[in-house]
Amino acid sequence: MLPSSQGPAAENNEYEMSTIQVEQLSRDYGPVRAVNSISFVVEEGEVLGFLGPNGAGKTTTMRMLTGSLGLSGGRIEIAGFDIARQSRKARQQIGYLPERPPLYPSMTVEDYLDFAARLRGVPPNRRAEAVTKSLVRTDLGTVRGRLIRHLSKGFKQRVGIAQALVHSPRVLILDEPTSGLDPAQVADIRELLGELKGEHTVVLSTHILSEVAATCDRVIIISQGHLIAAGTEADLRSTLTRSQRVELLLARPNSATGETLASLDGVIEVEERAGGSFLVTTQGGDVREALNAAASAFGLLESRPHGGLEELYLEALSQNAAGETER
Amino acid sequence: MMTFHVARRELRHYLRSPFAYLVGAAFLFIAGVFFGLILDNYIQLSSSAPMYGEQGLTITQGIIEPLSSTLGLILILFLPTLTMRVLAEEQRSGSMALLLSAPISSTEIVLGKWLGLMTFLLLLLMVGLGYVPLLLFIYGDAPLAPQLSALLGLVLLAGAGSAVGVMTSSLSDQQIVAAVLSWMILLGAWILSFLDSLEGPMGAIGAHIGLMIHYESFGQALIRSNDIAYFVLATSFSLFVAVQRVESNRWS
Repeated sequence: MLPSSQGPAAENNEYEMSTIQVEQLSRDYGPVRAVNSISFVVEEGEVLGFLGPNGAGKTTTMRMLTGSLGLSGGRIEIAGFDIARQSRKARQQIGYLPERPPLYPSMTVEDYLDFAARLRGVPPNRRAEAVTKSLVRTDLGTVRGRLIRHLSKGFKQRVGIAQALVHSPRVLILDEPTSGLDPAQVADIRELLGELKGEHTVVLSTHILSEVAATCDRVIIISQGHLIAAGTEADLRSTLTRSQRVELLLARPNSATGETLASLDGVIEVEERAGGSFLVTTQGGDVREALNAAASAFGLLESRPHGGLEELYLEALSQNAAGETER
Repeated sequence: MMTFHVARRELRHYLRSPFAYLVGAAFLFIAGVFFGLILDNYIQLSSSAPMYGEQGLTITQGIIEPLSSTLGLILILFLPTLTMRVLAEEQRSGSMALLLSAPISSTEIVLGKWLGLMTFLLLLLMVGLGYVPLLLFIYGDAPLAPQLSALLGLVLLAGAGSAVGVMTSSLSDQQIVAAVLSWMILLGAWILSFLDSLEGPMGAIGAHIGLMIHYESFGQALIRSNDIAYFVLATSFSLFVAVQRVESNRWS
């Protein structure tokens, strides 16, 4: 479903189209290709996580999404508006938190948000209300009159988010919203992100995996400017993993347990651990049903997948690296 | 409209910045000292001997003209300290990202910055130099036209000088580099004026490019269209370069 290039038709079909459409997006810095032909879509109300190691091209991609960096190739449509040709209209749909919050240290929080609202074209009669609303949402009411320079890092980050929210944009682009914060502040920001879900279409980047698991509906993994995997956590699991590991906790394991489990189809390794725990490595199709049935004879207490997103992520990266060297 | 929002923020920044007040105060103090010296010199000259024709030295020649050129030089010496931060600070602190991602064009950003700066400078000149015509009216019958002409010159100079400041501030994210570049351009153009006395092409360069040549005539109550064109051109060229530079942020 290629978006039509005719403006009016595209606008009429707005609701059938994805909120963000990215096609073959590329970006060169001199001879270096920082982003290489990336395509993806983000649906209305979805939270998309952008995952990748530092220097993978996350920030470059996000800057292009917000219209603050030109494209070397490909196209981006935000709510039906082409970011290059209808830049102003596209940018009106966006709230953006860059890697470093774009603050003016000598302004008070309230003045700063008022300025952001003006810049984003909030009409005069709704400005005060918009500022108050974003102050409340980001829990900044108590510091509204303070100079930004006097705020702690966590508060500054929240002011950055408040700025991105002030005009209630359809799309929120958040570049590493929790980087450099302490765990309590990270939890705060995540809670806030959770509240934003559904009201805004969110794209957030991170190099921290737990963040994706905590906040995102879908994940895109990029490495060295290439998109190497995309989908929900479950999608990634099924497409990426050649082997799966399941941890079984048994009430009555005996000497035959290991052998019994290992004899099942698809099981390639069984590792017995202390306290009735068995780590089973499987390959091929989903063998959990057979595995659990066999294990129930030994008093199956618990069966859970071993290794989370982290392993998938590392696997994706290493598969990509292997692919690179093969080429 | 967007230009106005940017200008408004810029003006508020200067009105709340201790540094801007410090620079403003220093500018006004030095201007005041020179006004006193020029006044003193004028009183001595006009009382000692009527050597400048039958009517003696006029207020225009004796006060307004030297004051106008002194103020001009002091202004371009102080201006870079006020303009250096205008874009360089935004680049360095990362707040440029706010402007670049907002639905606002590079032209609006640059024009807004310049207008905010100009408004502050006009306020400074009004508040700080208002006493000059007042004193001249009370203690002498100074004609109004030369004073207005000198003021126009000063405003045009402030406009071009701050445009150069906006341009140099767009070229570097280090404020000190921006300031030094401004000084080099403004003082260089001022000094080129002295070539005017030479013969041949060098003299022509001085006459055409020299900042002082074009500025001086306003103090002599001469409003010439080529002088006005000079300042308007210098202002628009500098702002144009700044717009290109801000726009290039989207490409690097």
